[in-house]
This record gives sequence, structure tokens and C-alpha cells, in this order.
Amino acid sequence: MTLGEQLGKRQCAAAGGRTKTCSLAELGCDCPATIVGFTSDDQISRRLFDLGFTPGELAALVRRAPMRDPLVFNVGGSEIVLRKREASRILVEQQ
Amino acid sequence: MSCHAEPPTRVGAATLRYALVGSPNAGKTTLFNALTGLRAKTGNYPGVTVARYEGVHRIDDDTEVMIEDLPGTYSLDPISPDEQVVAGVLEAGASGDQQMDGLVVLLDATNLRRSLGLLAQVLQLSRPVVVALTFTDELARRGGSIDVEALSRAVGVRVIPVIAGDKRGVASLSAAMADVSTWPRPMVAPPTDTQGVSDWATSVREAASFRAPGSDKRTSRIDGVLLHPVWGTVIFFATMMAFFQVIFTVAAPMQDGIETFFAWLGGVARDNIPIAWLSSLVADALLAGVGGVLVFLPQIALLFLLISLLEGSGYLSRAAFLMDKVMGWAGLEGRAFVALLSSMACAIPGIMATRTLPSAKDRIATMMGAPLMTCSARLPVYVLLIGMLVPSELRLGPIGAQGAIMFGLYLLGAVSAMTSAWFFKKIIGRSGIGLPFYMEMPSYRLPRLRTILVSVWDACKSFLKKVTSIIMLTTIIMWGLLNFPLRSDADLARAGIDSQDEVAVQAYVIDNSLAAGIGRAVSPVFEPLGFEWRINVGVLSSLAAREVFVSTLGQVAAAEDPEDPVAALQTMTHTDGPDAGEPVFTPSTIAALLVFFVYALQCMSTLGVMRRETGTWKWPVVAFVYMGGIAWVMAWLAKLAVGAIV
Repeated sequence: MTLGEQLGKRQCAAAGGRTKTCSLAELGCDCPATIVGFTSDDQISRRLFDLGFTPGELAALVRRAPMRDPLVFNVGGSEIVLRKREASRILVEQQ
Repeated sequence: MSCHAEPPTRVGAATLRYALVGSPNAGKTTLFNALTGLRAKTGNYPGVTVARYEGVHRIDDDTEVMIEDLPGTYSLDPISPDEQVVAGVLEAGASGDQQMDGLVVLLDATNLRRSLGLLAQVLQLSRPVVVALTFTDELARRGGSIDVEALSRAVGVRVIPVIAGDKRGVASLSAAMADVSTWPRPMVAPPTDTQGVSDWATSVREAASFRAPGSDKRTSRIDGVLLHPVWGTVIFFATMMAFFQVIFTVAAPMQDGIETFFAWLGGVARDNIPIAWLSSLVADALLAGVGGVLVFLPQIALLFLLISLLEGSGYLSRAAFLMDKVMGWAGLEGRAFVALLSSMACAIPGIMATRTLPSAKDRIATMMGAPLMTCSARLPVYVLLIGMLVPSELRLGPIGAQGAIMFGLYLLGAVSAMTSAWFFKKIIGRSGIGLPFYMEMPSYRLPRLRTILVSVWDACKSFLKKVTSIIMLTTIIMWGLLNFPLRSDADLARAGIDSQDEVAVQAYVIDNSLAAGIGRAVSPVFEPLGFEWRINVGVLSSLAAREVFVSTLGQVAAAEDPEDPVAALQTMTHTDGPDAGEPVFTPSTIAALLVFFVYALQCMSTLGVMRRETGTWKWPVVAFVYMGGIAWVMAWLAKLAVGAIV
């Protein structure tokens, strides 16, 4: 199995029935929320994981673009731009 | 696996080969430039639209190593062709057929958690690895800290801090690259499952006494202004307008200077070479051809200077962020905006600028749309034709009609470019999920002068290498078509032309040239558009460069000054056929011609650059054919529409 195939089999933990979870796209304020998982287990979720949106890390909304999309998030020391569509895959728990 | 498998060959017995691996924005390009300077060459990875950079690094007077700057990647779990290239090269331990001796992995100290994720993946491959730790200065500035020695012990490989502009880090790295056998390796590879690698990264950070940096206050303050919903957008449009205006105010005089110089040289050639056809060949073909190549350089250099400044400072990602929604309507992403904007000066740097797009599909779709943006070469043609279509005094309310039509043409070009990009995005490689859009917004940094200069130099060099031959060839062929068969004084006398009257001679030569033969031969195709054979000759000549259309038409019409042929063109009438005696340039014909120029891909240089950027002739041919077809149809519709109104 090549490394790529091996990495392709990684599971990104999907949140297990916690209360108070919402998606990153729904985060209204700029208060940090803890990432708990992803809505599905596929290549896009793995990519978000590799970008720094890892369970346990804090993420916060920094700003929105003039037409409300895309959004800028602060995670792991860097600012990442995501469209609402991708951001809604990331599940977070507010403090 | 055969036990007789050939090991990958080595370039030169002792030349070690290293690859730079790291995420975009980790400082890889800066490091690569610091190591290789101008001794880098650009190519393509085979079969993909991905640029390949490799260069020579001199460790000391006796030792050189090869360094390959792999495309930036966030993970060896690839999501795009760029990343597939990296994963493929690292997996094979070789790039093409050249073995890698060691890997230099860049870790961004301000993004340590994520960088460690990539390192963990690379360490799976059990190859010699050394880590270059970048932005430690920014880490300190933002209140963070790290113990480099402890980090080194924790990950099991040597970690060398490298700061842009500080030679010491690069010197240490250079010394390390002299002998890869001394590089420490970890006892055990880190885990790859998501939970395992998270825990590993956490334990590494603890062991290295890593204190995370606070947010970058300077960047936040600047973004507060530049990304403000109102002010940010205003500043953005102002910046883009300035970006674009610079081309006309700075590049244009330089271009005029080059054209004047070559015209002067042409005059010198004509005065000093006794044989008429030879002096014409040297002046009108060779010198004009070389001049035709060099005239692009000010635009390319300037545009890449500006793009490099925008990218290096970090503002480019802000611009992409603001434009992403609009670009999304064409199926593209924010970064495509700069490539399309650049194309309003000239499609060539615009097409080269598509390198900033991570998705190969986006790159090709943008390249298919870029030539439709109204480039500066179309302006002389538009000015001529609009001037013949409407008088300058005509106004539409408060706005001058000429200006309104010009603006309309620009708008048509932009909308067509977006539509075309949307269309190609849809049809290229329907398989696979689309690349999700994500983009890092780096801190604002002062771009390094060296990086900018190397970027400009690289752009100019690749333009000159690939496009010179095409432009020279096209210019010489056009010259041949327009000047052959040669006419002696006896021929001229027989035709009743005064051989001292240069204008009449030139007109006669063109009227009976090979190009005229072609012009007449293709007239059935262009007749529905209202193009007479002489217009066909002009269109044919514009294949070398669009603005040549004006002077060719001027020569064909025997205008006193070929550069300002309006009077001669307006009185030009059909010589034969059903419209004999009627003026050639009727409003509907002019409209058709204008629209034809909006869409047709006449610029051979653009095709050359597309070939260079995509690595294949397929896309340039597709572009030429589809744009030619659309040009014909739209021109025909324009003729009908204007014919019905006027």
C-alpha cells in the first residue's frame, strides 16, 4: 500500500452525539470554539484536517467577505479562508 | 518486483539531489531562491499542468548540489495534481528518473501543529530528512518561543532555523547538504492515524517547550482597514485600477520606445542595403520580428513585478478573498481574478499568472477565458473602427458614444471570458470531486527583493525562450505572404505604377501578393460577415500581432500614412462582385469586424505561452478553434443586428 493510499484510509472522528455542537459556518460571533469532528468522512474532511482543523484545536471566526461568503477562520496560528460549504463540514462545540 | 530493476540514474557521479517539501506560504520559494538564485530553471512535470523548478546550489568551490522545489502541499494525501506530483516524487524517491538523496522539509514555526502533520507523513518514507524551521523571527515577534534543540530531539531529525535575509541558517543548511550520511534519523516513524498524529504533535510541542504565538497584531490592524466591508472594497478597486493603469502609463512609453528604436533600425537597414527585397526582409521581417518580441517585455516584467509584490506582501490572498464570490459564479476561485485582470493588459502574463491557482482544472479554464479579456493590442483596432463607425461628437445622453462603445466592448470581453471559463470548468475532466476552495491568508510580510527579481526574471526568460521563435516565424511568414511575388520595375511599369511612388508601389505589391490570393480564396467564408478580401488580408496579418491589422489595412488601401488610414478606408469600395462600387466599410461590416476582434484568438504568442504553460499543443489548438468559431458566429450576429438598425 502506498503512503497515499494509507493516508487515504484515515478516519476523521465524527462527533458522537454531543449537545451544543454546531458547524463552523454557523458560528455567529468571534469567540473561539473547540473542533470536535466532521460531518462526513471523505477526502474533503481529511483535507480540512490537514489544513489544521483538528479535533481539540480552537477555531474562531475572524471575518466574512462583503457578500457573506467566504469566511476567514483563525485556527492553529494561521488564518484560513473557507467557503460556507466547506466550513459547514466542521463541527465545533462552543465554550 | 524484478531483482534486475535498474536503479534510477544519477546526474553526474557525485551530484547530490535534494527536494524542498513544505506547505505553501512556509517560505519555500524564498529558501529556494536563497539557495539557487538565478541558477534555477523552470519546466513542467510530464503530462500535467504543473511547473517544475530545479536549480543548482553551490556549497563551495568544488561542490554543487541540485535542488528541486516541489510544489507546495499541505499533505501527502493529495487532492490536486500539484500535490499528486509531490506524493509521487516522494513515494518513488525520485523525480522522473533522478533519485533524491535527501529531503528538506520546511516547518513554519508560527504554524507548528499543522507543519508537524506534514513532517509526520514525510517521515513514514524512511528517507534522509532535515528540517528547515522558518519564521522563527515572526514567532518571537508574536510572543511565542521554541527550543530548537529540544524540537530536534523530539522529532528525531536535525532542525535548522532559517530566517529570510539571514545567511547563517542557509549556511548551516548548505553545510548539511554536503553529506547526507550524517543526518540523524528517528528510531520510529510517527503515527499516521488522525488521533495518533495529533497526540504526537502535541507531545512534540511540549517537549520543545513551544509557546504558541499570539495573533499577529500588525496584520490584524492592517486587515481591519484592507478587509473592511466598505473601505476594504474601495481600496481594493483602487488598487486594481492602479495595478492596471500602471501598464498604460509606465509600460506603454517603454513599448513605444522599443517600437521607435526598431523602426529607426529598420530605416537604417533600408538605407544601407542595396537589394530591395533583402532590405525589406531585414527591416520588415527580421528587425520587425525581434522588435515584436521585445515589445512585450515591459508589460510582462511590470505585471510580474506587481503580481510578485502583491503575492509576497500577502495582499494577493486578500484580493482573492474579496473576489472569490464573483469568481465563484464562473466556477473559478478568487485567485483567478488576478490572472484575468492581468489579461486586460496582455493575455500572456495573465496566462502565466494562472500558476498561482492550485487546481489544474481552474488553470486551464482560466487560460481558455483569459484571451477574451480586452487586451491592449486590440485598442488600436478598436480606436480605428469605432472612429469609422460613429463620429466623435455623437453622445448618448451625457456620455460620448465612442467611449460607450469602447466600454461595451470591454464589458463584452469580460463577460465572455467568465462565461468561457465557466464552460471549460464544466467540461474538463468531469470525474472526481471538485477541489474545495481553501486558502491561507499569511501575515503581512515585506516581500524580499530577491524573490521579486527572480520572479520577474523567470517570467521574462520563459517568455523569451518559448515565444521568440513563434513571433519571429509568424512575422517572417507574413512578410513573405505580403511581399511575394516580387515585382521588378518592369512589372510596375507594365501595370502603370510609378516606381518612385512608394505608397502606390506598396499597394500594388500587396494587392497582387500571396496574401491577397489567400484573402480572395477565403472570401466565401468571410463574405457573410461583410468582409471584403482586403479585410481578410488585414485579419490574416493580425495573426502576428493584432495591432498589425491597422498598418496592413493602411497599406492595402494605399493610405498616405498607413498608421492613420481612416480617410482611405472610408472611400474604399468593392472592386467586383455583387457590391461593386459600394463602400466596403459599412456600419454593419464595421460592427462585425469589431466583434470579430473581440473573440478571435489571433495572437500567435498567446498560443505559444499556452503551449508552454500546459505542456501540450492540445489546449492552444482548442482555444484557437473555438474562439475562431465563436468569432465568426458573433460577428455574423453583429452584422445582422446592426444591419437591421441602421
